[in-house]
Amino acid sequence: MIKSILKRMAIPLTGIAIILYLIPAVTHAATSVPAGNIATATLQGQVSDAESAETIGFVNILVEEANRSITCDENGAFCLSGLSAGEFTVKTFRIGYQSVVKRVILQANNTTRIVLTLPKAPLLSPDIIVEADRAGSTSSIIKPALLISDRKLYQNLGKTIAETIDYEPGISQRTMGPAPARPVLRGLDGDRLPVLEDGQIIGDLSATSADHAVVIEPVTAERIEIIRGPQALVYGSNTLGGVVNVARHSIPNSRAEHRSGSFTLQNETVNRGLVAGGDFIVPLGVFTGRVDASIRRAYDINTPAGALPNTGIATINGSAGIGLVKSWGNAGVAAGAFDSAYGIPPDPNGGHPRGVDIVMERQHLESRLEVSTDNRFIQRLELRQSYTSYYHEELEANGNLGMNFGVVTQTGAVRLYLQNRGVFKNGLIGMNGQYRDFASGGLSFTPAARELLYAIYYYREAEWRNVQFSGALRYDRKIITPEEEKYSRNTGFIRKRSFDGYAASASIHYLPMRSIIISATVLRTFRAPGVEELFSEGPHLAAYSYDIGNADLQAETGVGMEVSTEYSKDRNKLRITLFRNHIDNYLLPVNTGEKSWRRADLYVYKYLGVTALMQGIEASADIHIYHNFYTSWSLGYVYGDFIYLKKPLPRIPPLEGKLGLHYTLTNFILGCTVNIADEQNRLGEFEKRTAGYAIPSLYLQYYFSTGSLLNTVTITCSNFTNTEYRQHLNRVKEVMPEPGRNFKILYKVFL
Amino acid sequence: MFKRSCSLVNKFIITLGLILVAGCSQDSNPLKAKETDHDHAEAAGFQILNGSDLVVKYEQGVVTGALTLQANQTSPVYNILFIAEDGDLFTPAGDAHTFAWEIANTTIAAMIYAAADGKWQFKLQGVSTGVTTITFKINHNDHADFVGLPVTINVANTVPGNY
Repeated sequence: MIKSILKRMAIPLTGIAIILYLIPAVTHAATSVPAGNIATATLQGQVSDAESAETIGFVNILVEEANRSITCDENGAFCLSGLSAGEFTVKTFRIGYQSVVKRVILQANNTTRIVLTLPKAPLLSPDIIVEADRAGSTSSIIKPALLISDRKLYQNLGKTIAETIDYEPGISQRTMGPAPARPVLRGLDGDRLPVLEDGQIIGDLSATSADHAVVIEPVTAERIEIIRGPQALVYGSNTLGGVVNVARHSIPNSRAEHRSGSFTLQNETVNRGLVAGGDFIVPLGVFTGRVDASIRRAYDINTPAGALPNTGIATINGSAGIGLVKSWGNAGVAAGAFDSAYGIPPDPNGGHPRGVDIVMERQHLESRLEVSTDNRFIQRLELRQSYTSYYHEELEANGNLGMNFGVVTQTGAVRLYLQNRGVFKNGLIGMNGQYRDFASGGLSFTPAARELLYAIYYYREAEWRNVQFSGALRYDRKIITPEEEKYSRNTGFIRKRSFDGYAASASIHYLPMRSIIISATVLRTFRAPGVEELFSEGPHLAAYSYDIGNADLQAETGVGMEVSTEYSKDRNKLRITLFRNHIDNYLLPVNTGEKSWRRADLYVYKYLGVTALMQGIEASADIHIYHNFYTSWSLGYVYGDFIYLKKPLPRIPPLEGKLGLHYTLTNFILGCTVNIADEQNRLGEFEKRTAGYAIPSLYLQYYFSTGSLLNTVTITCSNFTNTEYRQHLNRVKEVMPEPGRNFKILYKVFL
Repeated sequence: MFKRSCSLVNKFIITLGLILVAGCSQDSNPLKAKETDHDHAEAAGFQILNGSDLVVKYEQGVVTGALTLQANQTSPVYNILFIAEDGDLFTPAGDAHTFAWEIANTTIAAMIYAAADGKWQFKLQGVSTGVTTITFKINHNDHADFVGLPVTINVANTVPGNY
């Protein structure tokens, strides 16, 4: 009876719970006497131009290990209070300037003042300059993350996260029209490359099918991180490809000293697209508030072969958060909503001559509490919670419902951040719990099911002289319970399933000299099948398929290895990486070539587990040619095979790369880039060959200050030769080629 | 400070627990709030009968037989029975299921159908000589529960045999 009452009062109860949680927190915070507080430290600083010595405003300052950030004012001044004592990595992000990394040692009850000098940043890659820390160590640059922010983010800002990061080496995008795009890294996608927002699961269905979009709007993203290696295991045991984290900081975790924010407006001609978005941060007494919102509209996309019908997009989203930062730590809560409607182009095999429309909505609520301690072993404690409700419908052109899906995801996490001790740094022990309620409707024979996931993990770094080591261990248990146990002719015996597994990773980075880093990483992952892979049965109109699960699937285990060498000196950088990923029981839907008996207009895709191998190479370079001229290039290649079947894996991108020539002058950057790809003729069953291409683009970036505002303008003309080309991972490449000539203008202003 | 930290952590855990209990319910799934009708017609094939004579059969992904008409003539009444996964013959029950079809070329053959005459009965009209196909469907409210493989319709000037 109590539970039924709680069900009806879920939303008001949540609101009351939040108020109950905040009021005593405010009371404690506002009335407590400082005596007896945790001894905390304050970091103050000034940012200036390395050449002109003038102050630089609107620089984003990140204290990495504390996960705290702040934007300095128009005079380049910043102040971050409430930090723990210890050694930290401070990073800067500012368009037009290279990122600087500085190690600092903060002392309790003390204010540490630093001056950060930023050189101009003419190069395409997110250059990171390391300043020697007080102990003389320069190992703080070694993080297995790729950062996309500022200039690069604005230059490549697309309709989706996948389109925005598509230009990095080793990254491709799986698409089915412009809206449902998802990143693919080294041939790995879906659950093997989770997309997170502020480190949290987003609760959508983008990992399960090519027609499902990611419920994150990139226009209000602060930066996009790609995390690989041991750090990735903190987010999941299935992260063989890594993790894509979109940082938005919905819950403020730094006290705002002044109002700040940004507004973005972008227009593109290829689909008459327009997007507007912004965020605003404001001090509210002891609290800091943050709101963000965006709206996007685009029509059918134009290609050199004509318009691709039914490819419009309409999206609106927003969130609001409030945070409290005190000497004991910080706490906050945020809520948001995302609504989108987009089209899937017509089925190339004629099943849906006018395409399919998808309408989706997501609401989420999250909270966080971070408490500093003066414990010998534990630096701070973090508790996180999130609740996501997701729903989408797939509609035929006449408005008839094909399928619909509903997913509720609840997560809770506890992390203990460990004190640095001797050579050991940046450690944490964590526990996660996740509950997922999945249901599908319309013409679907997939039973509703619930998933429970428990995980415990440990991560640690160690540093000794010029060697850095990081490692992680993780154990997961997943239990999937269908609403009804029954036998299905196609799927098998639908029953409760449980999976246990462990994941582990170790990385070592060696600096034989200041300009060279040699790295090696090994990774063992575990991925349990999901509800869709086990029990799905029914037509999936938007994916042009009749999906059949396999109730007897076992878990997938992967072993990955990577070695890389990086050379950087002055403004030149070269990096080469070799990788190899071996996956036992690699789970994927395979086109059987047969039509469904029930829906003879759709091919049957059945989930199987096979042994797969993906190996390849990535290389990138940024080179200063002469005066203000720079060149950049990158290359990525994946070779994928079913080992025992001796056949190519399907949906593997071809050799891809990018060449660029850039010219910089004060606040102005002009560049030309060419995206290249070789033909792909290593094909899976029923896959079609894709020809190679070379697509040139031009861009111009200009930033200027007006009073207390920093303005940036980015003008891009991609595919300016209007070349017809096809991407191998595009499911509708047979219908139409990729977009034609596209002029994009982006204006962003920082307040 | 330690006591205050514990108090905050305890409040957070209580809040988290309330949210989890409120959320962990079947009614919280947004689809279940909308979904009302789960009764699908589970057809995997069909038979088309002229009286008691089997004319066309679609079973296990294979079509046997074809529909043969004379130009400018109307066929007899055909009945369509559906074949379930277990091989049983049935016609979908209830008002939510309706008979639907798609003729590839309506200049060759046309459908004559009136639900009042029999929900799962139909006639065909030969329009002109030629060959086309017809795809039979079961519609369930706003989606198709069943779509069969196309069945051949031959329309000739003269047809051997008697109707």
